[in-house]
Amino acid sequence: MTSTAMSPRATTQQEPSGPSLRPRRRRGDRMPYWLVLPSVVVIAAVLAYPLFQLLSLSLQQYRLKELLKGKGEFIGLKNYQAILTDPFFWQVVLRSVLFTAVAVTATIGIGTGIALLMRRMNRAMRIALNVVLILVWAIPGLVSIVVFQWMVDFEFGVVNYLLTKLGLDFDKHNWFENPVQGFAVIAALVVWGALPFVVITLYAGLTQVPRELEEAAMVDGATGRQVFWNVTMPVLRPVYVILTSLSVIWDFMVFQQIWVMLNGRPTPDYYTIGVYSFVQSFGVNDYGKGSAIAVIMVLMLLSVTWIYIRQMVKIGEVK
Amino acid sequence: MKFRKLLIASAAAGALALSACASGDANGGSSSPATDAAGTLTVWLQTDAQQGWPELVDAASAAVKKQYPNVTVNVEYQTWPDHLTKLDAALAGSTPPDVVELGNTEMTKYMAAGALADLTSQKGNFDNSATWLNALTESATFDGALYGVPYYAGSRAVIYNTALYTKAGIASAPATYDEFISDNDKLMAANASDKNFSAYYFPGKNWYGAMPWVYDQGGAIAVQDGGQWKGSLDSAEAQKGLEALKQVVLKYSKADKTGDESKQDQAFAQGSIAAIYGNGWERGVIIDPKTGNPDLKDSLGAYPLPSLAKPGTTMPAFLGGSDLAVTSKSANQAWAAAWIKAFTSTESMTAMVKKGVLPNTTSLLDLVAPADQPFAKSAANSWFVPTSPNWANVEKANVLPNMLVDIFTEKKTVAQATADASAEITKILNGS
Amino acid sequence: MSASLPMQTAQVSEADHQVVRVPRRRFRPRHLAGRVAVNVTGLIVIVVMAFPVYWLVISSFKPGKDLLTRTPQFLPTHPTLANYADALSRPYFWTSVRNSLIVTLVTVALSLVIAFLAALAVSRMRFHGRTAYIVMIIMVQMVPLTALIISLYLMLNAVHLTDQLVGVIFTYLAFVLPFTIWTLRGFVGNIPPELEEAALVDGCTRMQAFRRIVFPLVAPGLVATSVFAFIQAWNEYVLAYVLLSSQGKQTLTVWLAAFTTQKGTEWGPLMAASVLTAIPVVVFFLLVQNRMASGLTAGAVKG
Repeated sequence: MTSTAMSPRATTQQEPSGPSLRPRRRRGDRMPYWLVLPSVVVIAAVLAYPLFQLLSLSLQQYRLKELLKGKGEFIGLKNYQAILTDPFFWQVVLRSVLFTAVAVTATIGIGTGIALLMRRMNRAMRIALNVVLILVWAIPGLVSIVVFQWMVDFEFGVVNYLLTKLGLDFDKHNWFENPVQGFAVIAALVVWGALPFVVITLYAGLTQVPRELEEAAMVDGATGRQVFWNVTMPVLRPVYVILTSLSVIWDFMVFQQIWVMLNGRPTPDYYTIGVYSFVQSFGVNDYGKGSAIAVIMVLMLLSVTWIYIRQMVKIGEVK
Repeated sequence: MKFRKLLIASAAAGALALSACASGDANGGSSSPATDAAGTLTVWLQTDAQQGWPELVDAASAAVKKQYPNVTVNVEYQTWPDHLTKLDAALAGSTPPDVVELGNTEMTKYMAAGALADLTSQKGNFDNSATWLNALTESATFDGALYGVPYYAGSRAVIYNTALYTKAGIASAPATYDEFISDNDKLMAANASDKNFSAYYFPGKNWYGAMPWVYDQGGAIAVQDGGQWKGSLDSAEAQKGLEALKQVVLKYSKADKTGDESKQDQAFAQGSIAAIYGNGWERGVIIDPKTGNPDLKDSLGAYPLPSLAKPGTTMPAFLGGSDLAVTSKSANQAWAAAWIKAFTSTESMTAMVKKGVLPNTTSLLDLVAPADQPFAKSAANSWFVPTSPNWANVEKANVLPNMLVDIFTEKKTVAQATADASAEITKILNGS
Repeated sequence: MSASLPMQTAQVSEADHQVVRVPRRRFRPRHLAGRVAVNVTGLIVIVVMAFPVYWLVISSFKPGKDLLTRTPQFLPTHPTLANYADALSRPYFWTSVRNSLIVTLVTVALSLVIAFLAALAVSRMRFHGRTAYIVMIIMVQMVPLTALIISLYLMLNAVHLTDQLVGVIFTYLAFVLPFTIWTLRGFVGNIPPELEEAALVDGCTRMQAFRRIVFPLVAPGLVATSVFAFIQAWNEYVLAYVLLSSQGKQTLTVWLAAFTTQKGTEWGPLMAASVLTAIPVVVFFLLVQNRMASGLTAGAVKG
């Protein structure tokens, strides 16, 4: 990574800016439509029908029998009603929200720390860390979950072994007997798995922050924290919006980590919304209900990330 | 060896069939049994066949080819994870597979939904159909009709370390429940210095290993009464069996009371475990250098669990395995049935037995190698899960593992845990 | 984005640009103690992050009985290549590698081009439907894939694109594009349009302005998104499994799933195979990283 190479960019910051020099904002210019066209075509071609089907199935009684016939029975909002009036569903939602809050905060916090640290490391260490991050990311999900499972195994786990060596009583400690501890292990796995993506994206974003701005602010007596919030953060904001929203989306829907870690037999204490929808719906072929849960999940995520989305939309319009 | 020759010949023919299908024939076949009709027969088998007995697959395809010369057989191997998702998608589409392999616990929901063709009238055409293993036939039967052909079985028994038994002064495998208990006591005493030692290693969630105690006493997971299911683990018989198991687990097992059996073979391979309750093929896992410890090869034995309720007999084992079915949407029903018939023929099954697989029929159990006989014996006396289309929901809800964990960790008494589980099972099985 | 930079920082940059450019120093702590602290913390981060990977790699060199032991083996006591030999000797390994490479590389290349174009439009231009477009991009990422699989299969089956790599590539594109567009939008948005406009005033064509000014500044974003797209496509399993039926067309993840049979999973060979499948990702990353880094320097100098 060439950190020095980025410095000339700072010279760009003080080019004269004036509203008169913005020829491409003209109304009626067809350019933007041509530019977004390919993406709209691909996304619409692949996803329009399945998304329409998702909405339509959520309003139907649709199980294996109906799947074979290719025709379900319209039952209005009954699937939604059944899900939303089940008190267990709300317990699960609450658990998912808590898990998401903890995991996302940890992911973004630790990710920021590592990305900032990376700028200060020497080159050899930075490359080493980069390779480690990519390896973490590149290992098939299922396998990394199993490695974690082995590491915290109650009988053969290296974690219990090391903690016992340190003089703590962790011999035959079962990490999953108490769901709080169990979720701590799962959160560690989720955060560990998400860090490469977060750190690499943040680090790429950091290279766009003009060094001169930060250093000049330092020279002017700003503390490191002030520099981060006032200089670095504004440039990184769009990247943070993306990373946080995506982490929220992924962690809220977390399924595979819990499912595989608990050998496909999680007790109800371990149900998050992702596990619940699988168990209640996909596992037993109630596609109608499964679709309804998916729609509810999208609506919940939209409401959580709405503030961000509005900001995203605004950011562009301000200019 | 006539059979060997047949195999070689059919393998060659199978290779021809495979290369023929590479050139592809897009014409959908018709279900008319005319022998000169052309088309492609699609068979979905799990990867086990590809790794274990691919030549038998080729032989079956060759046999069909001989009967219907213009048919190409296209065998597609499926992986276990997510194969049902793929099947659901294919069933919804216009070109589902003609023959499909399903795990025996996966059959019910497809039978109930009408996804599989009714084979009742053809039952007699399949070899050994009168002597198919009961529990497998049961898994392929719904509302009195037959929707699948038993393919192979997996049966459970006690797998034990003969060296550890000998060292504790035990000369032969226990034949009665009393001996089972006294042997375990001897083993614990002889290995008192090893704090990790389990005479009978039993992870808490191993419900396949727990239910034999229930069925042994005449109990059951659920009983059907006039179209209604009722959870029956709270019966006096079931509770008696589970109480006995609880004592065994508390006294002789150091396994994770909240864990499951997925790592028991690796644990067994480490030593410090005298016996586990497992599937016949787990012995292969234990001594395979890739997954276990080949040094244990000569000190591995097995015995069926001796019955507590009926001395002189064994506890009924849960029978795993696979069935073969024809999809109801298949346009090639006659070819599909012919392929299954060839693949499950006596010759084919005999060859499979030689590979250490339990056959689909009691008539071939005698051919099973002496070392596998304890499993063959438990296969003859087996139980199966309730064949309600909602049974999958009971499994998904983990009712049985959760109940066992509550019992072994003494969070609940046996009476309380079984009452709760029964109520839940009744509710789920009768749910819409 | 540039407009939302706080005013004072813009002023700082005005004031100092001639002064600060001279030292051209790296962003490193000046004091020895600080540097030691940074590198020690860095080392701890590396060790913690790498430990599970390390555990996976050494496990792939252990025979079966050493995979789970009561006293953990931090180095294999009976190192063996048997797991690798077993993995490599399985049928369809190389065809699967080829299929995975085709699917992944085409997906990455197409997604970068398409997303870059879209990102330019979204971050630079005002047009009707822009808001709707952004909301669509975001919402698409919230829908759980499992809920769409069957409809996707039926649709592709109807147009005869099942069991074809093209069908899988299109599907992956649709799932990767929202993220790539969104991320590149952030990077493009950080480039002041004035810069390009100045280049246009200086007589560059629009293409030249893109190539010399926009592209180099977006390069780090392209690296991040291409790695993201690569890994998403490389590691995807369920769609590939459902959409591709013949073994000659399967991708590596589907091939990996065959390590699980009725008898359980062969962990040693699976771990060896996972190490093998991770290697192309690392190679891709290092290649892209170097390319982009050199392109970056060149571009910056020209600009």
